[in-house]
Amino acid sequence: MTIKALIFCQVEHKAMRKVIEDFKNIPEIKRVFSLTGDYDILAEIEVDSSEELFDSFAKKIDLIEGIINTNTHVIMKEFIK
Amino acid sequence: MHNKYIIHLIIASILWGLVPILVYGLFAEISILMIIFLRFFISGVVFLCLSLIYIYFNNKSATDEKSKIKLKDLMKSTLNKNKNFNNMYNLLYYSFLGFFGIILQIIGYFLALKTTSIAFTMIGFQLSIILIAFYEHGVNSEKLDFFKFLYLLILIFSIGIIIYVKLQESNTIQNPIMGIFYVILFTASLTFLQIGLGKESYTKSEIKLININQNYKMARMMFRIALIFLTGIGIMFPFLIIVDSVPVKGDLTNETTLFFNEFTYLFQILMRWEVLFLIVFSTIVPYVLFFMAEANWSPYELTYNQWIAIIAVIEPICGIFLGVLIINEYFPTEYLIIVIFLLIISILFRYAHESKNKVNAFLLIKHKFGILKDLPLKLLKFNGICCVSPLIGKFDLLLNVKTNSIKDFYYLIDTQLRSIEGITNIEILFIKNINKLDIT
Repeated sequence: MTIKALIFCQVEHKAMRKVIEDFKNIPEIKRVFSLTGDYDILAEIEVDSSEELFDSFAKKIDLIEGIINTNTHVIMKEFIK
Repeated sequence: MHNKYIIHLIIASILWGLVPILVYGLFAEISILMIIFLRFFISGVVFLCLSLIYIYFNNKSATDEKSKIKLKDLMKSTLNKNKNFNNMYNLLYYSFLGFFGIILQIIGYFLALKTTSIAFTMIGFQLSIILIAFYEHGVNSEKLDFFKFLYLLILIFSIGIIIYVKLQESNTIQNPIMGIFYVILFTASLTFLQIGLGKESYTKSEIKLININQNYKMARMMFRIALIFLTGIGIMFPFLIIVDSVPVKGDLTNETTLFFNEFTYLFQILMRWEVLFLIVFSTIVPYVLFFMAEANWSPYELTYNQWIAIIAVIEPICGIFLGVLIINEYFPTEYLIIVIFLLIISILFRYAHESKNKVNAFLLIKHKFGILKDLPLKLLKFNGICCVSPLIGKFDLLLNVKTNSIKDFYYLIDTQLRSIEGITNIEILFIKNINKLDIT
């Protein structure tokens, strides 16, 4: 079963471009948005299991330098029109 | 290219651009009304059959009862009221689009082609784009920025060149005043169609059906276009009877008399390759391409309607170019190059306008317990909300919002969202840039 989650990130000043590039190099990250507001970056991750979600965080996302803080939300469903 | 469906829209526009070439040779032998009748009646019937076949195959492969598309739901949707179109029943709304938007438009288009020239008729497309731009500016408060201004200026300039070139051969046109009238009729109907199509609205139950099964959207689009075509043709008959009874004779009355006489040769006319090509490749195929694009459009990029606006000039470009190339229409090469160059440049300006001025944002919403079941569908009914995702985390919902202007954006938040009981907090995150987008 596919798990989709949103990772809202606050990023260090001047590290924005590097963090975006690092996110782009992670295959599980499907979309990366630069934002203005409380968060600087939104990355959408898609994995097949919670195990894979943990691995992506522990082995890839946690290691990205420049991220100050993350706030992750799991998407339950997507409604579109 | 981020979205492969943009290519669908471009191919469909090119196929529509072939219409003047296909019908030009037929005008001498067949009445324009017979071409219109065959084109839209056959296409309407084909779309009706396609929607039924589509439903059949969907239901055959459906894993549960909920994923099945019921014909009853589609029929019921025609009796829903369209809140964006004077609260009119959808069936009536389709009839309006069918007759005033399509049949009258094509009557004007074909009569203009027959009495003037392909290039002169193509002015109607540019004029319609300009009228829609003023409508969007006046009614929807869309910003008329530098790029949009340049875009409109280029279109006006290209119209000026076409008129200048065509004035040089005006002595070959039998009745230029009527020709101008037909172009105006074509422009007005096309503008009505473009604005009218944007007024489509889905009810809450339909949004629910789409979210259970995405195929419902495609089936509904084919069913809707079948109804638009067939009701348009249905209204055309009493209209022609009235026209036929008018004592004053003109182009349309002559065409009407010819049309009723031609019914004896209906099948011979239908079997002509130009007519078949017109029905299949310049009507059914382009619409299917458009529907596929609309049904599968990614909500994160420029919207489907924005891309439709960007590529709107492809059809007149093809018409003018192929008219000169295939029909040998008079248009000096230097002017032809300038007009086509200007129209291509206008695409770039329109793209710049669309990508720079639209508001694209995420809204993070917190709400009280007990309203999650109905809230997503309620929110999707608002203009501008493209996607609603219920979340597990600090916030309860994520909304992807796209509006034409910042005014529309604040209207959505201050007037519409804040009036919903149960929403306790809205956090706005404007999207500056989309850095990665995997379309699967």
